[in-house]
Amino acid sequence: MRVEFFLLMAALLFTIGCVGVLVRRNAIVILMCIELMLNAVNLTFAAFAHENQSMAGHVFVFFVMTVAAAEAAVGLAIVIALFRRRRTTDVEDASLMRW
Amino acid sequence: MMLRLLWLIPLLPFAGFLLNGLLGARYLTRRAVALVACAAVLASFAISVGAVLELHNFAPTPAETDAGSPARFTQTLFEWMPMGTTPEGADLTVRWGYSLDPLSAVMILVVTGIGFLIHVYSIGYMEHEPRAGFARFFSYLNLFMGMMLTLVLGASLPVVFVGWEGVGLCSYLLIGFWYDRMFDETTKMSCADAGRKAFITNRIGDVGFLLGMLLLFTAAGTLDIQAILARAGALGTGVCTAAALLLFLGACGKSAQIPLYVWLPDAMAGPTPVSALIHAATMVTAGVYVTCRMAPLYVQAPAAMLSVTVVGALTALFAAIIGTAQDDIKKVLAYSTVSQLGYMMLAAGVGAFSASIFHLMTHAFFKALLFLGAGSVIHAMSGEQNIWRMGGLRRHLPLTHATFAVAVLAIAGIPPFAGFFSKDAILAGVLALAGQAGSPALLAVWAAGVLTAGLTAFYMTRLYLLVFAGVPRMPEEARHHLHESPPVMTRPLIVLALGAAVAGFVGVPEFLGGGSLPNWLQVYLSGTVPSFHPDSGVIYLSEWSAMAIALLVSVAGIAAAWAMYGRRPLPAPAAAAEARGFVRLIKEKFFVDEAIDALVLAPYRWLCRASAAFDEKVVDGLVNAAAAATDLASQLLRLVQTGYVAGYAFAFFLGTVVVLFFVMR
Amino acid sequence: MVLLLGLIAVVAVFALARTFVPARTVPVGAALGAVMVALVAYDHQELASLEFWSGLIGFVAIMSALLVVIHPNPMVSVLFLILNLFCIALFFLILNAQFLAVIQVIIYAGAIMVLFVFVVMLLNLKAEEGLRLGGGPQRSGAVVLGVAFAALMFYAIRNRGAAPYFEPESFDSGFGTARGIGRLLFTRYQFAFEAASILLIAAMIGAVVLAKRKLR
Repeated sequence: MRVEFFLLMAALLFTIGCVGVLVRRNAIVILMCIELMLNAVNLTFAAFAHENQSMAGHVFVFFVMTVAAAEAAVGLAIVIALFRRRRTTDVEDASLMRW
Repeated sequence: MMLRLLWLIPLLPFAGFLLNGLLGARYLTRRAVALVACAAVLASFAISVGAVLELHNFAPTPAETDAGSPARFTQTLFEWMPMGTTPEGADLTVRWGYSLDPLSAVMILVVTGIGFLIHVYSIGYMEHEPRAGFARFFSYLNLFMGMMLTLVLGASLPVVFVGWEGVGLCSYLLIGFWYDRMFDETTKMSCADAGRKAFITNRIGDVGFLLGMLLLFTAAGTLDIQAILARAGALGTGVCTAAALLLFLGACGKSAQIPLYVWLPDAMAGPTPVSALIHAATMVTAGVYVTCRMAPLYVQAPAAMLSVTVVGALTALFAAIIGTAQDDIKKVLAYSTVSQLGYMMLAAGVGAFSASIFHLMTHAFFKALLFLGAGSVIHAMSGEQNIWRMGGLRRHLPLTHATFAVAVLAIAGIPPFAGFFSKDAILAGVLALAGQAGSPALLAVWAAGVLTAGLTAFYMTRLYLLVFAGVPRMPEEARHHLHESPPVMTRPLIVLALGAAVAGFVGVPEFLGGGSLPNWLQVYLSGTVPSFHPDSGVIYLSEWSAMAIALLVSVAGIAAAWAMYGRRPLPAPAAAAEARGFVRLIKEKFFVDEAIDALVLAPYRWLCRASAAFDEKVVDGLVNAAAAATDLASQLLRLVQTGYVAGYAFAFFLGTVVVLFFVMR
Repeated sequence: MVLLLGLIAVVAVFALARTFVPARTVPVGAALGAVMVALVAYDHQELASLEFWSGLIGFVAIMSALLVVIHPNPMVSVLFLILNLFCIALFFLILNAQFLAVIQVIIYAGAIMVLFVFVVMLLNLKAEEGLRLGGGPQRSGAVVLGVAFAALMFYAIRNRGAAPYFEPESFDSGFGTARGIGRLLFTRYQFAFEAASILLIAAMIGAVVLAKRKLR
């Protein structure tokens, strides 16, 4: 089995996640797309760890999962706070970053 | 033992300044403030007396004593500017040190002694001042004492310069003490303006002092005064002349010589004790002191000596002429001070340094007395200063009158009062130099000196007659308020009057005293300042006849004044204000202030306005243009800032793709 | 290879049929099921090959990812994301990363996705209205960018030089086990491990503070 297959798969998933972030307006779906991208990266790590026979890649996957968990928790909390205040999860309604 | 405490002499008044300045206005009573201030100065005076007495028996090393160098005690406190040594091994380090020798001994005794009397007097004079102002006044006075003592005791030029600038600062602060009051209604000059005028005029002189100091540092490789003076002979005439002239420019500013004298008459805006202490007795003599201190340098530079002589003589005569027509009691005394300072400079210029210091000392006594007497009069008159609204005060202020009369006789040069001896010593010095050089031109300087003496006698008598003699010219109401000053003010007057009467006997010339009464002061100072021994050359006038002529001119001045102002009842103030021709010229002080305004200040103001316009239009324009450009760019970039996160993410992704493209190409 | 491509084609035909002739779904489905059986019968050897299963999992992963992005209903998106995560867990297994596969299921599918499900249900989100692919300049631009990005990635992977071909069986037995990862985590990466724990605490406190009813 060639490692390139997994790399291509990861690249495709990553691209899909990226496009999803840009296309969707629902904040929860955007968070999900980000999870998708993180998973694509995890796959790449695992593939390279396999190729190099080094477990360092696995450790990194572990840390990425930690970050993903933290990010999901905080991100969802923000979404809840936003929803409470504005009754929406649409990022285009939340344009407070404009001065 | 007292010599070891030398460092305390400037420090004690400084401690008083800190105490009164920090706590006085809020936590101390008036009595405590006055006590702190006076005690600090009195302690300084006591240490000074002890140290000077001890100096008499002090010999640093036998070798120095053998070399004939005078007793000198130098105390180095710390290394102020450790600059190391030159490759040749010369020590560049500047140390903070004090040195006591006969010259500075005379100075510290005068400064602390008269300073103490004026402090005591101020307690009475400033009694109507609110407590905060009272504390402020005494803290300034103490600061002044500390700075002045630093100036006279400083062993190296930078230390002297610190004191020099410090007294200038105190002068500024005290002239503008009543900063919210108007000083001169006709010219719209406030007291604060007068302080600024004094400070800025002094600044011009200070630049000269600083440059001279740096020149000496470059040339001699040291800033220690004694080291510089020891090397003065090796510096060459050119360097000596330049340095001496630059230092003299500083002295001109501080000691109010032509052309920088204009600040002193306006310095009368300060309280009268300040005028007595700073602008008559001590600070203004700092220029004379530094000139005498650097005397070995001046001796190497004949051209500089000549300049000092000419400037001093011109100042003496010019100010005396102006003094004859002033109507303000303090202005008369101010121009008198300028004139007498010119006298001292004249003495230094002809090389009679000990005579210069002698006159400095006697002048400190009688001019302080005159100012304090004037203060007493003003106090009694509730602030009135115009002598045409006074008259007949003799009956109301007997003590003030008596002491003032002593001072007038002293400054007029009537024997045996102090001014007679010191003035005579100066005139004798001029005459002797003229004889030694065989130069009749110096006789003109002598004549100017004699004429000044006559004019001095004239205007002082005029002042005395208008204030104390004749009939009262003040309004009826003011006449009832007349009262003699309290003892706290009159007692210093009595002490000063004693000094003004007998201080001259420390310097009786040899031909008068003979063998029985030596010229103490000259002997005392002989090792410190270059001695003057005019034993050769032409004798234009014998000492006796010269003295007789000077005395005669003085008496003539008194007589003329009596003839004009004392013989008959004088007209009312309104009529007296009329003046035409030459008298008006004198009254308006030869329009010197106006000339300076037109010739120096007007172009300067124009330059300032031009610079301001340049700054506003060009410099600010460039700055504003930069700001406007930034603003424009920001306004354009603002359009991109939609606030939609998706848009930002899109831009981010776009950037990523572009970067990746270029990385992988 | 025939089996894999055939299966993909069958699924594609089924999807098209459901889209365009929804009424005939059942007969079309039955026909396609018969085609699948035929395909397996024709090439049953391929069922034992790693390439076949990898390809099948990859196909499912890509499809589920696309559905996450495309589907208007967030709840459906979450479920397809879970499917996607399972696919990736299988990939981990193929890559000899057993421990990762396990924690992928436990942490991702088990914990994080539950969080998502909870939030979606808590907020009671309806299907997103007006979801149009290719609508508006930014959306079409995003798709174009995505294609460009994928092309770049393909180009990069294609040109990464000769890579060795690995036999998974040749690996030493410790690779990918919990013991191996644990040894690394608690020796070489101990600092990062501790930092990650602090990060988790921070995230936990942040989440609590943010989600509190009153921000005060």
